[in-house]
Amino acid sequence: MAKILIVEDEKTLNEAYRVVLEKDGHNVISAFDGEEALELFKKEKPNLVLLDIRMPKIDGIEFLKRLDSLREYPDVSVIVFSNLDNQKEIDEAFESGATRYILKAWSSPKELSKVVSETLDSKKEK
Amino acid sequence: MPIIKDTLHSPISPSLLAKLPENAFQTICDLLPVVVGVYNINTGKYIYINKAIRTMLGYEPEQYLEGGIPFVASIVHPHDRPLLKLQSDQFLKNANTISSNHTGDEPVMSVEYRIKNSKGRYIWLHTERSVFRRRKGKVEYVLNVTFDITKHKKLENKFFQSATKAETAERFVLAHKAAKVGTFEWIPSSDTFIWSSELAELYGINKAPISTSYQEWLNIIHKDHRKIVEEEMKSTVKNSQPTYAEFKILKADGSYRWMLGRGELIKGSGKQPDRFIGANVDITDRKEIEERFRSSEQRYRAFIKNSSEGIWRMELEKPIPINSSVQQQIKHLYKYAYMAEANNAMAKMYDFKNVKDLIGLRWGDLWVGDDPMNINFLKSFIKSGYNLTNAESHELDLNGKDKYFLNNFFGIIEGDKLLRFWGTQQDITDQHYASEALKKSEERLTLALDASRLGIWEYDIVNNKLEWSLRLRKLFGLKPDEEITYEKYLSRIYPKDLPKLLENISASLKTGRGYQIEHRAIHPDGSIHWLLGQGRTLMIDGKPVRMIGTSINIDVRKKAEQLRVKMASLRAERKELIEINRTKDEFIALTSHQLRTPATGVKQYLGLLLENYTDPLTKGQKIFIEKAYENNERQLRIVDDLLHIARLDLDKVNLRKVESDLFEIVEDTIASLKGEFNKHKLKIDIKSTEKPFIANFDGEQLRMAIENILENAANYTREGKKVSVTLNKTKSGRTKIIVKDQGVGIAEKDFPKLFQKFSRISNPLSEGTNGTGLGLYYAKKIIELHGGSIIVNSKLNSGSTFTISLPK
Repeated sequence: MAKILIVEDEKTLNEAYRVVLEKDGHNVISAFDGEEALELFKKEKPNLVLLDIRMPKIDGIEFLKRLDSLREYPDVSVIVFSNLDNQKEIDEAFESGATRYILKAWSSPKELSKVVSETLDSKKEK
Repeated sequence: MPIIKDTLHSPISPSLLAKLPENAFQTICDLLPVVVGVYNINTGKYIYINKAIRTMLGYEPEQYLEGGIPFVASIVHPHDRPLLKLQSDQFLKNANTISSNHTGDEPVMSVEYRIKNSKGRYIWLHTERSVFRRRKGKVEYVLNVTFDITKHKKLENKFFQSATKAETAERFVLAHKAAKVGTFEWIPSSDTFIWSSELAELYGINKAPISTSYQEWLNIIHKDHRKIVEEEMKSTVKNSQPTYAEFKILKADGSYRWMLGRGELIKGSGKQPDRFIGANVDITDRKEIEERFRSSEQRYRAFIKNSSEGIWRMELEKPIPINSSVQQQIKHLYKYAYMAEANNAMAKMYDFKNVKDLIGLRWGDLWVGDDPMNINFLKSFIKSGYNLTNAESHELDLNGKDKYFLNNFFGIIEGDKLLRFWGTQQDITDQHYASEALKKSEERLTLALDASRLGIWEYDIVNNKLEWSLRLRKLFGLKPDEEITYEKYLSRIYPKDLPKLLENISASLKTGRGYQIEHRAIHPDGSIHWLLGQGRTLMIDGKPVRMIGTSINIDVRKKAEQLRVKMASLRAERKELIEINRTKDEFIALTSHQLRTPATGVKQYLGLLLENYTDPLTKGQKIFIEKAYENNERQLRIVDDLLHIARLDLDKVNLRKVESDLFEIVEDTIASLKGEFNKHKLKIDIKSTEKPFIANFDGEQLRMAIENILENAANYTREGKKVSVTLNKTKSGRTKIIVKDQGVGIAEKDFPKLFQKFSRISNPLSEGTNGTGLGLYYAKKIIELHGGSIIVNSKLNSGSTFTISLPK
């Protein structure tokens, strides 16, 4: 049971993720671009962010940088959920504070659910 | 009976003597101050000698009695021996010839000679000799009476000497007169200076002053030398050391003469005062010669110093043996030769401020050692016998600037050694460079002329005469003697180029300006050639009088031009193609990426359906949706592959080679494909020569490559068969990965297509494959990026073997 912020500009995908996470009992908030994401993050203070990279206005990396790489949010996990698979982007994501990097195209709903609960559990353990 | 001369004054009566007993005779003899001796001619032995021998010569009578004639001969002065013997023999011979009817006095011989006394001193002796015969006839005894005449001789000599001295003195004076020597005597105590007439003559004084004061003489000496002479003479008077001085005097006739003065102090004894005896010799001539020599030497030195030619002398620390090899001599020169003397010109030539800086420099400091010009120079010098003229050398000046000199070298040889050498040199650096430059420009000109192959023509406008050179005719393909007219010329011009040419020609005729135009000419055989034509018009009073010009074949140049143009266009084309290809790859990358998004969307919703996130599905619905899901997965895989390959082709892939365990990677890959293999009911195993298998590679990329190859193997192998992977290392350290399958095999003709993009070789296996057709292309690319290679070996129906080879 956690508050999860889904940041994804593709409406259908955003919806699909919501279905999966709500079924798991989480509280889901959606943002459709980087700017909205920042606003909602500061307002709602989620436990986990499901973050897409390629977005209008501010992209995923910029979102993380604006949150100062989450230095002030040690309890928040960020799972980068993207179709970009070049090393440069991956490295940058982690440097900017991402916890995990998952390729969208390779995750089924079951896999998404698994990744989210794993991440939340590991944070709880810390 | 012999008459005894000299000291004894009264003669002795013979008869009385004869009656005296022997010992009385002996006693008388012993009293005599002269030596009396008797010896037997036959035995050569003395039978009697008196005691006077002791006082006269210091010998004992026994020495004479025992030694005899030989003894006497040995003590006679060697110089006197011959004469004495001669006289003695002659005397005896004489005495024997008058033997038979001899009644009167016996013959007497007088001889003077020297004898060494017992102390080794020679004593002059005078001997009177006579003979005594026992029986009438041959001489049996010789009687000697000997006087000591040493003192007498001394007096004699003295007399003789003084006579010679006077002679010598006169000769001396005469000689001196001839040698212009004048003597004087100076008595310091009385300040008297006594002149000899010769001295007066020397000084040009007619009336010989007998004596003057010392100062009066001094005043005649040139003032520059007076003081020195005075001091010299004073010092002699003081310490008796002889004087020697050269000084100038003012002769009475007004001329200056050089004198050499010598003098000695004779110490006075008793009443006699000290006297300074001196002599002057006129050395003007000698001085003049010296002066002339010195001035000529000075002139000579000045000449050398100021000569514009470099003059120098080099010494050798160690003389060079002239018999050693040329190589050794050159080495020796470089080691031991140094500059001992040089003039100003030399300093200038080497850019030294001071000649002194040149002195001591060694050969190697000035000469460029390995310049062949210099080596040949030295060889010539040595081979010529150390005499070389007008030879060029290459040297370096103080600043390292190259200089060229024209040299004369002269070696000084003594015995078998070269001691030193001197020479002259002229700076010909400018000429050298000028001649080099000239040579170069000459070369260029020759080349230009050779290459130009200009054809020349001349058109006499006034008389309408056109003249063409042989070469020009060749350029137009005309025969050497063919007639040429302006019209004919124009007819040979390529029609397309004619208008422009005519334009140029008419312009030139109007204004006289020159033209230059590239045009084609047609040869009689129809071949076309490119020419560069030039022309100029000579105008007189504004009217064209004559035209002259040249033509040259530029076919080669034109061809080269055309080639260049073609090359440039080809390059541009290529660039364009590369660009297009690149664009295509980028397009693929972009599109593939774009495709991912909707494909992902499909995957999610199909997944949601399948994973019961909404109403449950019927059995039939599930099957259909599963099929859709599968295809969507395939779609995604193709997109992935396209993206990978696009990246490879765009060279966006950078391998991250790390030393890792290849065995682990392969094991992992196999594990991830387990599902796939199980579906096809295939066995797969892995063998390795070493565990861990350490190699240098990009794990991620190589994993994908191996995955593709294994997938390929799986897709083409029937159920129940085996795929085996073997890892080993070659001797040279290369990694080998061998993937062997028992599949359907590949026909040899299909080998080339195997690794190409999207190529599909017909698969007899009924089941369609999930492959994208990009797997092997990708695998090959990755392996090749690693610097490795992949080859396939296969036979239809017996399976295939893929061998990957990776560098260390």
